[in-house]
Amino acid sequence: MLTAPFISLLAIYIAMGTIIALVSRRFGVKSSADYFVAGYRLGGFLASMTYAATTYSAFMMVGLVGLAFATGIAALGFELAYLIATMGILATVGPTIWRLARERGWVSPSEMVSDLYNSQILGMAIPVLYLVALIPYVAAQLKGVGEIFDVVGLGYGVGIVVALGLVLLWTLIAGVWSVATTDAYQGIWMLGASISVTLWLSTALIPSSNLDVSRIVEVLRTTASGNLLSNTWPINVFIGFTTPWLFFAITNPQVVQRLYMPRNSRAYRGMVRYFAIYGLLYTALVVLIGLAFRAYVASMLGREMEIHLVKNRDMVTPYMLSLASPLLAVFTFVSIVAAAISTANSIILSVASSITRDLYERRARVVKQQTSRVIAWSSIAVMSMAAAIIALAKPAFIVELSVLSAALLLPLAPVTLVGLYLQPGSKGRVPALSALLSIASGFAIMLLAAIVYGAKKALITTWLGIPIPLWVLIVSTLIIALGTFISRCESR
Amino acid sequence: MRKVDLLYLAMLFLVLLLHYIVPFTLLRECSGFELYTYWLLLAIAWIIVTGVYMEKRVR
Repeated sequence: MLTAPFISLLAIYIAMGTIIALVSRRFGVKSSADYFVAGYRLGGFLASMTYAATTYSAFMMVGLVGLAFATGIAALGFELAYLIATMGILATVGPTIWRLARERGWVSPSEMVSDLYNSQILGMAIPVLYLVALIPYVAAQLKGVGEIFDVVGLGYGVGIVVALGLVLLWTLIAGVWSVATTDAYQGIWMLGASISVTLWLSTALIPSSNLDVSRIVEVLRTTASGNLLSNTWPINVFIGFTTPWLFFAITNPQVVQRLYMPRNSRAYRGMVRYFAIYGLLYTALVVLIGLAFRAYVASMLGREMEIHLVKNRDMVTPYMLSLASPLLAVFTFVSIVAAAISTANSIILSVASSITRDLYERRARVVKQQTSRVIAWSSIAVMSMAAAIIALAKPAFIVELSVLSAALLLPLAPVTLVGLYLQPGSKGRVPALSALLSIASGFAIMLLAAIVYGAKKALITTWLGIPIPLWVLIVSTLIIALGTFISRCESR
Repeated sequence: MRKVDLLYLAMLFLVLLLHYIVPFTLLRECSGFELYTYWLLLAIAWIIVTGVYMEKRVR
């Protein structure tokens, strides 16, 4: 029943996005700096929207709605911990990165670390780390699209192919110019859908079931999963899940690279301000949707359905939308496709920039723009296809995959902070070696844990009462701190 | 590092501590939307503080 309206709206979404991407070519792409960081000349609005659409992925309307439905208000604390920490990073570390990026001509995120430690090996190792950590994250986005296509009757595989095609098309047209402009367009679509679903729940679905606020509160206090108005997450789970999120803004290349792009300090402030408002509104609405729908299911559809959806929480949004009008349902489904595409193409473009810059341009004696372009396009194509193949295997829950990716990149946090403030432009082997060891150790711990325990358990398992992501941070910080200490002793 | 930067960093740690500690202590058992409101207000306050700080600091 939803197939025809979905295809129609999807066609409009793709056509408009492609027109926007084609129009963005007028900004001109001559060098890799233009292609990957918009020549450091994004305005505040575009910078904020691409930051928001890159950050907020299919994870929000699929993963976070399901998480709020299954575990309650704790999902809000989990997501807002990210927003609070990110605001702190964007206000303190962010301006330093933004200033240094234009002073030193940084294009890729790995180039920043490589330049700070004056080490080519770091510049080669970090893109490999990005590939291992982020391809599953991109696969999770494509999986989100596949599931939407499955729900509307078009088939999971078709969804993966369409997502792959869109990522390639909107990335290759004009690099970050087409990605940023389509991100802005998709960001508006995403927020519009979350507002529409909230309005539908509060004015149609909830009133039709005779639920008022006091009844909703009563239902949420007595669900099959306990009192969802209280914090239902044990402390180790809360810390394990939020730790990688706290440092997301300086560990994930797709957002680090966005700090290079605002054209001046005013645009930078605008980026942070509008992103904060967007993030707060989107998070609050998405969690509210999950909670309100849980109250509806618990009081109207019975405990069996409630437990079924708790166990299959990625299906909460599709099931909820099956109760909505076809127009709202397909509008929201397309918004989820938009969220997935805007995140996936930003990640792929960012990692491609690391491969192009750190493995070719910074090592070649004479840089040929044609060669750079071929390397960039090949990297984009290979990564997109690798992610699509993984997505076809239907990997674990979207939430866990997303957090695991951030956890694998966690060791980059202490290395970046030390590089920026304690050892900027450091010479000698010790700082670079300690940075490399710090990244390798943290990454190895998290990867080993993921292999031994699986994606979800790796995040919540504790060693000596401390969640594994926190161990990653502790070990990486100790190694880089020791390297800094030795380096300072040597220089004296 | 200027005094205002140190003050902002101290506030960041305080806000994060409040974000983590209060839900596991004072708001452990809620009968309504107190925890939702608490987390939301804390985030709004922090966004305002960050906006004011950036207007002065990022030039």
